[in-house]
Amino acid sequence: MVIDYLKYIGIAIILFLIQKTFIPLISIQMISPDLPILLVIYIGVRRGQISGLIFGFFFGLLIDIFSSTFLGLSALSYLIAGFIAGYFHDENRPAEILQSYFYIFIMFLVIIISNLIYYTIFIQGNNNLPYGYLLLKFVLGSSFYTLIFGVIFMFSLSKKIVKSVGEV
Amino acid sequence: MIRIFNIFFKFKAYFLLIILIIVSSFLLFQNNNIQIKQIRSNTILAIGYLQENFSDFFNMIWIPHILSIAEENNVLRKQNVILSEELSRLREASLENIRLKKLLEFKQSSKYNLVTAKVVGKSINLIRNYLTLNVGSDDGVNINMPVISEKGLVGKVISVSDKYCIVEILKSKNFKASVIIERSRVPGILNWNGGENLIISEVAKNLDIRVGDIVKTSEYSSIFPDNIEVGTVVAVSYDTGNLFQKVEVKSYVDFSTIEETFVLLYKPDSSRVILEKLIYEKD
Repeated sequence: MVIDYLKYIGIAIILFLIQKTFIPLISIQMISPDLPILLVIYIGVRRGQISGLIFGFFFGLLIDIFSSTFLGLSALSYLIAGFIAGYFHDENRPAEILQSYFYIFIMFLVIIISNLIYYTIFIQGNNNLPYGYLLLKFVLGSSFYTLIFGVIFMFSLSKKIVKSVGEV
Repeated sequence: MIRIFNIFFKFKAYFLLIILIIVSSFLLFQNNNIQIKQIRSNTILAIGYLQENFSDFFNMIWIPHILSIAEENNVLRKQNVILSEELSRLREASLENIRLKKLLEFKQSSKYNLVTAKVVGKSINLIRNYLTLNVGSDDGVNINMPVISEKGLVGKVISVSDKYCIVEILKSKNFKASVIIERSRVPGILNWNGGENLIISEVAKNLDIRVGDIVKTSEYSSIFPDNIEVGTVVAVSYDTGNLFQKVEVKSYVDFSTIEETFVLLYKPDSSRVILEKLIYEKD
């Protein structure tokens, strides 16, 4: 179990580096996918609410420290994402959930709520931005863009997921 | 006590959620803290370095986002056109600034009332050559008023409307002005015979005129005030058997490039005009 968490930390660092270097290059009209949240959702569904909460908080904090937005904002949105994702955790059939279409719904729901919290606070902090339009653009845009990557990871890594769940 | 513990254990996730939300909110309100700003400025520096190097490396091995590059090209092309136009406008403004500064210095130093006028139309290279200025009777301009530039005499007003006036320039067949050689005080009548330069006619052979002499308007003129510079003598020639010498004068004013002028709100003494008119009519 400890090794699993170390693996998660390793994957988190890789995702963080990808998010900071490669992801800006594939942004469309300033909208880019949010890869770290996909890991938070996975951990929440896989390990439960507490794991999702703690991991989301610290991962979000790491991203906040190394970005120019508000410190604590990603931590808040990710910890809530981890908590909601953890709600769908089922100890008896983890692989089933992680490979199902229901997992796509979970991803979409969590991403939308997380982005809503993030951009609501972010746009509120910048009084000169057009609130409604930006909220719609960034919340929906980023959510769908992230979901695409989530679906790709889900189908491409499904065998590995089953194997890792089987080992635990 | 055990009960509290049990409640806490049952709802530990919710307790933890509340605690972490409080911590996150606290951090959100600490964003203006100097120490946090310092830490972030250092970390952002590191990330910026990483991003820059990654981006350079990535562009070397593969050009991503071809669509965005194409779009960027279009944007840059448009910007290029806009900037070229702006550069051209700025150059024009710079040159206009230099011209206007000279005009302003001239206007401030002039003893006459001047109305600044822009040349809005030209008719050059014909027998009767005119300029159209953007000032008229609304600005106090009248017929026969002299027109000058900071370089010298331009002509006189021959027609006026409310907002515009027509100026007959020196290089016009009908134009005449009484002038004087500044050095030797030799008077003459300035006119134009269609050539490159102006001509001073009716100058006796024995009178002292040399190449390089400055020509100005004389006090004998009833239209132009005296001492307005006209040009420089560029040639003096004599025809055998002729009593007069031919004096060619190059105007200081370049009529092909003139853009700004002044109309002198000058009127000759009316009693002199009437008297001269009476004598001429009598003759």
